[in-house]
Amino acid sequence: MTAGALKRSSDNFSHHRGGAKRRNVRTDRDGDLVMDGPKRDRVGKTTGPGRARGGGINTAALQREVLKHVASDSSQGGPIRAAKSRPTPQGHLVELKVTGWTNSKASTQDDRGVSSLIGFLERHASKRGSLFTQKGRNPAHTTRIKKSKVEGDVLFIYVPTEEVSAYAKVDGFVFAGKNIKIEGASIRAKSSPNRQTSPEPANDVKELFQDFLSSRYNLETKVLDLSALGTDAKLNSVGMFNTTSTQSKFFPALMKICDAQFKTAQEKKETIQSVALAGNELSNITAVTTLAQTFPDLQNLDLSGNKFDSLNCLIGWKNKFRYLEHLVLSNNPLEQLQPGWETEILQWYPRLRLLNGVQVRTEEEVAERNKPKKAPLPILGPNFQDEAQIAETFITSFFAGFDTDRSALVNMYYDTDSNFSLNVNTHAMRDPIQQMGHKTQGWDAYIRLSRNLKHLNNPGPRAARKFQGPDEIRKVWTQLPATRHPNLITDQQKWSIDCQHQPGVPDPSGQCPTGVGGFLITVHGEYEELDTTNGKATKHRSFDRTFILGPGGPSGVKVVSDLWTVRAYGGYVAWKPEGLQQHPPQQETPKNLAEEISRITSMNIMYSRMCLAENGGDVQKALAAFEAAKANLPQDAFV
Amino acid sequence: MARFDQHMLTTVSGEAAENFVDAYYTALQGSRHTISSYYCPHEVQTDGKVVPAIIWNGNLLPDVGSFQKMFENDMPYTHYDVQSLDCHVLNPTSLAADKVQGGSGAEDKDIERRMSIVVAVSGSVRLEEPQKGPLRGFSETFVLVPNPEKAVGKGPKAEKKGWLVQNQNFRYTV
Repeated sequence: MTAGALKRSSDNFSHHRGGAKRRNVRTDRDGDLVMDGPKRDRVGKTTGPGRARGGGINTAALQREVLKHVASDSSQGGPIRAAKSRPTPQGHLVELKVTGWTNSKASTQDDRGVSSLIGFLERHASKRGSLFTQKGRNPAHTTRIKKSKVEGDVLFIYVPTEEVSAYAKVDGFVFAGKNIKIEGASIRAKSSPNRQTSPEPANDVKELFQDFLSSRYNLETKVLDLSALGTDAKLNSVGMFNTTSTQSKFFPALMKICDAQFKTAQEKKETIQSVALAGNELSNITAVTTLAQTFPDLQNLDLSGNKFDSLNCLIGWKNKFRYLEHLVLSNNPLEQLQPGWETEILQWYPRLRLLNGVQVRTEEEVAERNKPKKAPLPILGPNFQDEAQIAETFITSFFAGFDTDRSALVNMYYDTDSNFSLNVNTHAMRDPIQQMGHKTQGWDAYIRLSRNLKHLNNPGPRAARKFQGPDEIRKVWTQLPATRHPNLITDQQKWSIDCQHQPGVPDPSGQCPTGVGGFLITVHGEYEELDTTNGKATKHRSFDRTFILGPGGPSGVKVVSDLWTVRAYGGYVAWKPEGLQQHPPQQETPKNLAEEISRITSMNIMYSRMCLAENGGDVQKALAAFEAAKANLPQDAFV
Repeated sequence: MARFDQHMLTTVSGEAAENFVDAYYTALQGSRHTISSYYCPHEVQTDGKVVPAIIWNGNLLPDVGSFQKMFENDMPYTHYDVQSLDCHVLNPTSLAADKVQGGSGAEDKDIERRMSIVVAVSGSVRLEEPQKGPLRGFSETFVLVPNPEKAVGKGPKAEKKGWLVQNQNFRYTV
């Protein structure tokens, strides 16, 4: 089943195919492992809904649990064989019993093939240290059988304690055409539960898992093959799937131990690129859901030959595996039961190129799909719908006045019904270019005045931090740090100023209670705080400021509402117009384009710029707009 | 404005702003087909000006329908995190006294149903995909006006949205 699915896979999954093949070879040699053999209880089968485990994995508890069941199984089940090996007189050496070799093709040799067998054992044990470390990468590590003797059909070998597990892995291998059997006091037999109480149970299970992972991992192809777990002889020999309790805990614990093998996420990503969970009788992913946490960067995943009958069975993995390139879901009921599943699953994985070995996206499509997305509309420059330069005049005099003479500014633009408040956005994003890190911002000068309704819940402080009328506003402005804003003309890129018509602003004459026409002005920019004793800049801030302008005040224009948001410096690239980038042939800078418009139309540079910005930086459109509107433009618009 | 109950103005406007912002940004993320319901009806005023007016990163949208379509069809995943919020009462008598459904009709009454509110929001928005997508800073200003359809008291008409967007300006700021 698995092999079939993988055969259809294209080159991308060749790693995986290699892995499966390799394991198949070994499986074939190993009489205990039959991939498509009769199914026993499986990981997925008895793990119904409600067995899902939330939270983290308690490995220690799991190990106790697993051991408890393993122990009870052996006491209830088959006969416990007494260990036939005896403590070795050599102290550090452990005696292992090798059988099943006597009728091998090598038995015609003078020594009945014993020296060949010893060489075979040494060679294979040397390759099998613990997972990912000794194996493959450091093949120099070799193990030697220190001593051996033959008694009838039994070869006794004596090896150092720390190498026993490596020899245990050779159990079941084919030597010259015959399956050999390796037994010993510290080896759990594959074919029958034969355990003794271990002094360190935790390490015992951990070692079992590590050995298991090692046997299922292929270094060259970077595949971790967790297919057909339910038929794994080693796992079954310790009763791993005999109870639902150990079943549900097996996979999370395996993932935990797997995770512990790696120091960094990068190392993990590079070491394990593919995982196969084929042929596990999974009807949902509850039992194996932790795979997504352990291997978020997985490139290839084989889920073929399971019992998924709809994509809902996999919903927990939707939008996980952001780097998944190849997914195999063949031989699952959903192929028949959920028409159109291919289309949906494409939406789940943005980099998916191959589905069941069939190309579903080209590399170009994947690249296109995953490049930073453009906003549906381009970022444009100022949208400034002024009338008779009212808003422009206000902005120009406001920020100059705020920096130099706040008291005079209050007198000019604020009356008894004017409202002012400021709020501090202490969580605002910082300038991504400058990467100033988490430098302390120091909001002391503002925070007691901050009217951030996200944090200020009581009506009392809400009322107290809104200032109304020239006296209150003047008073609070004098408490705030001295400021220096950038020049509106020469540093115009540091500003974003939009202006739109605002109906319904209060009519000071009282003639029209529902209000008259005014302006809504939204300003984004930056300023420096100044030390008034020496005029030096101390802090660099960004701000957003909303003004509602209406009729009134000595100049005829008053501020109805002034809402000031202060935040950490966030730069000014966010509002850089994208309009020009849509016209690659135009090489001119916006300034030059505005000058060009000014030259043709005789409008002043400010108006030329606004005209250009309102038309998305397109000179032709700007000129057309000028022609349409020139009769209505004020005298001040021209040079 | 001093002639009105300042405590009431502060309380009502603050709650209205909070409720609006919670619901509105949730709709932008998860129920984009409802976006239009947050806006006042399209209207060309006597001076030729159009409400509601929506400016999005410098683009003036022709109407709410286009704005909703932009979100429904072209906008990737968005998750807005409002980090700061402030508001002022703009005009306490924005809705004429006789237009308040179930109101007294008196010029100085039912102010809690008649005020317009200017709301300033600053925050961040996660784009494209949860947790991993690019994060942008944003600033947005709304002018909310009373919904004349909403009745005083109880009943289905009293359940309608209290305030609707009349004017809006959105900018990425970081």
